Amino acid sequence: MPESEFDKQIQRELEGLRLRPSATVWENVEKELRQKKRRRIIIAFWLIAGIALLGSTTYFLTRKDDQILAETSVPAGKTNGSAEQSTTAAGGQTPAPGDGAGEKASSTTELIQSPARDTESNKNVRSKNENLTENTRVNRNISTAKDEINKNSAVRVKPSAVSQQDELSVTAAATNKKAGFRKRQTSAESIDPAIATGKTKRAAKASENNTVVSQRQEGEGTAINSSADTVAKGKDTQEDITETTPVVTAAPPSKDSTADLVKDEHSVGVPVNTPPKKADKKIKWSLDLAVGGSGPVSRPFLVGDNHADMAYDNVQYMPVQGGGLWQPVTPPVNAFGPVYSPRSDIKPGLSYRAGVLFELPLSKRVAFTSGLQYQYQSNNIRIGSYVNTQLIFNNFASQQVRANGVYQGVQMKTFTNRYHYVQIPLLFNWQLNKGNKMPVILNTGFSAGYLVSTNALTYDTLQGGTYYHDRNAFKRFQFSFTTGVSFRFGNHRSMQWSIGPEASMGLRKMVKTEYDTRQYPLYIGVQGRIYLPRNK
Amino acid sequence: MATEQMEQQKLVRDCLKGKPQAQRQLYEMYAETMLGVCYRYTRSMRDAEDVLQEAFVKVFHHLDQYKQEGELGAWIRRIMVNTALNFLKRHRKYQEEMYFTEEYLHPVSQDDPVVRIQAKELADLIRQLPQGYQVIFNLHAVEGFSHVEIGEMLGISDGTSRSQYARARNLLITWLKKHSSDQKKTSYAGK
Repeated sequence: MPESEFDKQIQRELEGLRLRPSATVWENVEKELRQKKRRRIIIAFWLIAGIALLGSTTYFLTRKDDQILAETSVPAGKTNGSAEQSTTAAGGQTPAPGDGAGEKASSTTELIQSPARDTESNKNVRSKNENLTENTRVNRNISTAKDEINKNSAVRVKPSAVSQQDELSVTAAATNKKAGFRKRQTSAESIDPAIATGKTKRAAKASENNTVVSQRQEGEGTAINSSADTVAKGKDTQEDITETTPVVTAAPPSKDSTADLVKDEHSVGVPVNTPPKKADKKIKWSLDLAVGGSGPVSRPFLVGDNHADMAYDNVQYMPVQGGGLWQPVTPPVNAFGPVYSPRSDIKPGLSYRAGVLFELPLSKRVAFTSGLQYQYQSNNIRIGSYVNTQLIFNNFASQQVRANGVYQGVQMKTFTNRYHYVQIPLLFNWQLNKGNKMPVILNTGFSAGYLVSTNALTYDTLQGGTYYHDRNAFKRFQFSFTTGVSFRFGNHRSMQWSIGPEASMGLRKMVKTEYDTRQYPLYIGVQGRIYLPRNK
Repeated sequence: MATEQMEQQKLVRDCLKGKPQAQRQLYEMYAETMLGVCYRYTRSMRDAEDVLQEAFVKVFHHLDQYKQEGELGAWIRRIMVNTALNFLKRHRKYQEEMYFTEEYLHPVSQDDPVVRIQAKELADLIRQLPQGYQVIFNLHAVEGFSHVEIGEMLGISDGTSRSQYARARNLLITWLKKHSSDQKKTSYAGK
């Protein structure tokens, strides 16, 4: 607190002190504020990119083997048929122990089916099976089969993928092989063949004909399941068995599988399969359109400082060629004195893109996208007056530059730097949500681009600051990291389309180091895709 | 008054939204006064402008921390002063002069001369004080900080602050007297 009258006077006087700052103060404040904003954008970009990469990597590393298994599975009817036929012989005769067809079928049958899916069908089948008089015998045989399963190393069933009744078929067949067969004829009418065979066409046919006699195995150690109750279909049987042979997947037996045998003993021999869902492998074609803004970024990875670049902007001194010395430049002089033209601020400009893409599904929720795109990028700078003169000079980095006309002096005009790229995107699309109502898709990947043409100007400190165009100053190839999220609509219709934000950061400098300071292209915009309707 | 306050609140809100026009307006509103503040702590106009620039960037970055209860000008002024002090600590040319020695309490002069000098000239006189004196004089006599507060800000004891202030004040009074006598002589010579 001011203690005396003198202090108060001083305070009063100095409070009224007002001094006008030079114009550069505000310019610098503004520049810093813009840089901060740009830094935020860059951080946001890499954050999203990082999440996208992490998500994709995690997904690929942890995704289940469902798809792989699904792809190796066989249509239900066919497999069931072969399972049933494992104990039947051509021409309605039961195969003898060691019969080729019977052995093959018994040792090779495996169905891939989730237990949950089986439950419903099992219930239906179970109710019908209750009519079977041989049920008690079946039960007894199951326990025999249970004992045998541990001994039998020849047949191994993957517990997670195989349904309980399938396990039984396999086990029973294996038991048959060991214990031998005694056969008893039963009427085919006592069992609905369509049910017993998992409602396959062939079984239904057999039921209609009523001429087929199923043979039931009898006696201890003979596994009885629907495969034993099934129909013989003459010569076809052997062919079917042969067809299904490669389907076998070997896997160690588990304790659970044995336990399951007891639980689901009523469903014995009624393998009912639902066809597994496969990824739609058809390629989708789409028109790709995007619009947004673009502008160069000096530090896309936010490392290093701008001091290294300051030499590019020293408008008052130039390095002397061949030595580390600097000499003052000779700027143009107008009525007010020498005119120095510092580098202009670069403001973002319009950017758009068009292209044709194809989307190759890799799994139910992952796809790969590529194609061909044309991308236009631009940004705006302020430049001085055009001087129509041919200049050959050594630039800041002692690189010889040839320019037809330069822009110098007070920066009064706005100039748009335009870049035309042709690029090939390599993107992974990962559906974040489940379901088909409105898939939310994360697009991440890279784009390889080629700069077809540009009118962009390069800055040099020559004569106090000069802008010129030299096509050799620009790098032709660009490699960008792209990421975005899109929302896909019309998934249940023939015409699909998607829209969402996206961003892309160039990973190579746009301008060669020997010409100008670091500049990496950044693009942020909205992309949309129209998927071409497919022929059904 | 209320309208002014509302306008100021709107201006702050717009600045927070990042509107360049509002930022410019806020800068125009306070730049001249704040340069006066920065000028008193530094040795050259260029340094004063550097401080002003740095401080205004801070103002815009931390404007969300401004609780619209106090006066915005006072809040900005505080940022200016803190930035100026940091600037002095950071730059070697000031660091050497900012060395505060523990001194015995110097009696404060009871002299209360009438200040007949323009603000700019007075500021120039203050800037001629040794850096340590200058800072403490500014902080106490102009900004109104207590010696305890100054001690905390500069990492010195309040006794040192008092002592340096007393010396600065005496020196300034001497210079002011000399300045006024010089002016008188000039005016007599003119007659």
